[in-house]
Amino acid sequence: MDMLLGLVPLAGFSLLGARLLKRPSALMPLVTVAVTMLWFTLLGTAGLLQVAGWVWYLAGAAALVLVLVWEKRAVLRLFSPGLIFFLAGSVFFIVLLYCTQPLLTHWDEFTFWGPAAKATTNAGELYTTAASNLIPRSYPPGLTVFSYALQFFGGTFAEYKLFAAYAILYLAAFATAAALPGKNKTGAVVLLGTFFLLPLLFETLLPAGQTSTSYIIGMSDPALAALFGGALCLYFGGGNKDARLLLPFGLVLAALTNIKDIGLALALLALLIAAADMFFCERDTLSFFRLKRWKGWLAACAVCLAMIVAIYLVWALHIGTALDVDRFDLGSSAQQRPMTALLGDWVRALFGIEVPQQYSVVNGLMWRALVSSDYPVWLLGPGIRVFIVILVVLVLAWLLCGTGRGRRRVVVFAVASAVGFLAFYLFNIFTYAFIFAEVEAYVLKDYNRYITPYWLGWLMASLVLLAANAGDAQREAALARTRTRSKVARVLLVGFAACVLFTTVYHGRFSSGVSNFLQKSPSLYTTRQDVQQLVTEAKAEGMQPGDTVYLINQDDDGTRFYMLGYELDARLAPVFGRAWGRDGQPLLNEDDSQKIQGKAAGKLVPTLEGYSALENPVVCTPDELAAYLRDTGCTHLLLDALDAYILESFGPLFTDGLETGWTPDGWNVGGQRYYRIEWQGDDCTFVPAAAPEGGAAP
Amino acid sequence: MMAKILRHWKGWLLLACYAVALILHCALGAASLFSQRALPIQELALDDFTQLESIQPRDDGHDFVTTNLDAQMIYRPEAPFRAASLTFEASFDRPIVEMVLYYTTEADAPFNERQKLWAKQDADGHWFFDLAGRSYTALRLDPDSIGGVLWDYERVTLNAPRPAARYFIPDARGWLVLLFAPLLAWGALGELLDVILSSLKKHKINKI
Repeated sequence: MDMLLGLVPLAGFSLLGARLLKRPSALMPLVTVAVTMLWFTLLGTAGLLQVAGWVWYLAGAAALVLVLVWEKRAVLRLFSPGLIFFLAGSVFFIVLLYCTQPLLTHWDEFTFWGPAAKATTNAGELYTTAASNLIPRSYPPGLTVFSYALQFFGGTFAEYKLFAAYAILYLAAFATAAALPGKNKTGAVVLLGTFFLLPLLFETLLPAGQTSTSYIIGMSDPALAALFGGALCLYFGGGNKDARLLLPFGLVLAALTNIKDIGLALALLALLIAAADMFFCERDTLSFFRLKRWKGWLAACAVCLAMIVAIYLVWALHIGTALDVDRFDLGSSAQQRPMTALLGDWVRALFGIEVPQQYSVVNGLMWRALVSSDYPVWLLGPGIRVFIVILVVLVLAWLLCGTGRGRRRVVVFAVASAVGFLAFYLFNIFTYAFIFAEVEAYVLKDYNRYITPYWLGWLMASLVLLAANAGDAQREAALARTRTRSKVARVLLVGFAACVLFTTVYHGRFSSGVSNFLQKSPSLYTTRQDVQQLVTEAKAEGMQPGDTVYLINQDDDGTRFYMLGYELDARLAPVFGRAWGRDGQPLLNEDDSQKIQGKAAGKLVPTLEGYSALENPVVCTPDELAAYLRDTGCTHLLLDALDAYILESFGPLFTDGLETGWTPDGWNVGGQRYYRIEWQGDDCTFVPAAAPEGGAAP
Repeated sequence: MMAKILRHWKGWLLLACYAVALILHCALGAASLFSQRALPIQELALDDFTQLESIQPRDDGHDFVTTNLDAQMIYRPEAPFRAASLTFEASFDRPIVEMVLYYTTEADAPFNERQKLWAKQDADGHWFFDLAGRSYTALRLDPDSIGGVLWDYERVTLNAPRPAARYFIPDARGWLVLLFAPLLAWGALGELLDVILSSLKKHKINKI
């Protein structure tokens, strides 16, 4: 509950921002969140993460006091539906998630997002340098540091706080909905409700089980969607296009860039859409500091672009110095080629000069995926249906516009956002064709997760354009025609919201017993609890944070390996295998084209007979394992699941012979889990960890 | 007073919408309480199940073992029946993944993914499925999705009595509807009343 303290700076900065920038307070939570992410990133790369925290909280409290002193009772004026939605929603999620205590469950949450946030919070420094079992350390830190900021006073990392922090980020983006309808509170509130429901409509992990992940997910894709859509809503809902709007807009784009590499593409496309709008619809009214018309346009675009590029370069510099990783070196380890060469391949493929097979297959699949029910991006099926809804919303927005400029704005947005989508889609084809491994590319792995951010953001921005007509257009309020139009727009919004509510409630993951952010299914956390139990047992048997642990699990697809890496304070050694040492990836096959998510990740076997290429069994004799343990500096052995081969061939290395506590096929029935490795020359024996030093030698 | 209410009518209207929703929710809860309490409590013995798939009896201290990922217990009585709930009592040798209940509402219809419920586990470890008092032709209980699980059957009860409060506490779907439906009703009603009020005003002005 210490997270509630985090709302003080969020509220303080939002109110101060609304007062200083003279813009709707509904927009300010998003700007505040973006600035928070950037602030912690910048100071984090300088090694000053904790300083960043203290300054943020103190300055936030000061901002709150300052606004209260300035405005006195008039401060109530600043509490618009949007800001109230953000603050009340944040309290709601903090309390709700504290009560339900959801846990991380997905693969990606254990390979990066969870351990990164945990390491950052517990060490008080960025995960690039903090001690942890995290393997890829070069992803941008925007989300992680935001979770750090909100659990600054919490002591140790808690998973519910991670979910709550991300939910607060989504709420900040959704609050922007309330800016456009202006003084009309009905339009604002209905649109806020719709935005709140949108993630439930766009379930990002559709086919993978029946649970709903909205508002309880540790991955970055919903945050990408929220910031992309939020940035556009900020731009369209923020009133006059001047520095007071465009600088915050640029900051949000920079924060978007700093979430994940694809964020750079989304930020550039959002900037493209805004630039087109400024050029065609706002050129006469635009001002950027003292620059007007096309000079102002050029300056505004250049400054926003500079902010995006700057944060990208800051992180490139940081991982270059801290990790010796080249951020411009794209490509999977299968095809280690520089980015320029890959882009060259892409251009050649685009123009049909030299078309690799992976490209032609992926290209066909991707265009089919737009219309095929096999690749749903929301509860209602393929992307083409989102496109139709967006088109209808934009046509209605066009029809309801009273003025020529309003209509031009809708048309410019439609064209620019469609061009943006095309660019985004082509870029995703590029990543599938040139960066992904074949087995993943040919099934368009996680297609919905990668594409949804654009769809969701696009729909948000379109709805805001429709809502622009729902406000009492101030200057023209006297005209009866305008009033009718805004009434029609509001009724349309209510109708749309009703459709969204109906779909999410009756076609979504809300039937009895299904797990979602409001209710937990009992079986959802079986694996997590099992792994936590294993850690508890190992600790009881003497596991210390300084140990280097080798895990034997003969029945793992990699899930339990990563979960353990996340749970353990001790260092978890990579699994034995031919891939050891390459990229530090623990579960890679020889040629990396088959990243392990098959059955047997690193399973120790006597021969390869009976295993398919998709699995990753490792031919290993006791001597080879001993040599490996010595090379990797392992001090301890953790037994999770064994099998007959381990019991027979490796059993003699254990001082207790593994004779009690294991069934013949390797199930643990109360047997010892944690062993110390003792060396006599090149031979090693495994001694129960709690046994006295040297005393248990055979 | 009247003027004050009229000035803030939109706020009051929102409150009224929520109040109406709450009353409706309670009324529906009471209705299902009375109609479902009237249904007979029926305990199903193992022989009552028409078919047991991939479930084999054991004689090593456990009643059964599931022999693959798709163990099924099918209950298909001769006539359609109404049911409020199904409670499953059993003990398993390990945590259970994905216990579900399929149902059909038409004679001879196949079981399908659309007609499927997930179990909720009570505090006392019983598995509970909400059948909402509708009419069914067949039920299919899938006790686990792991396979190789040893377990003991205790009983399956249709329409086991539940505390009255359970009928009034909303589930996730109920919460969403309770939270958002009044908001939408408010949005729609607000526009409607706006039209009426402004036409009334015009009427007055014309009279003067």
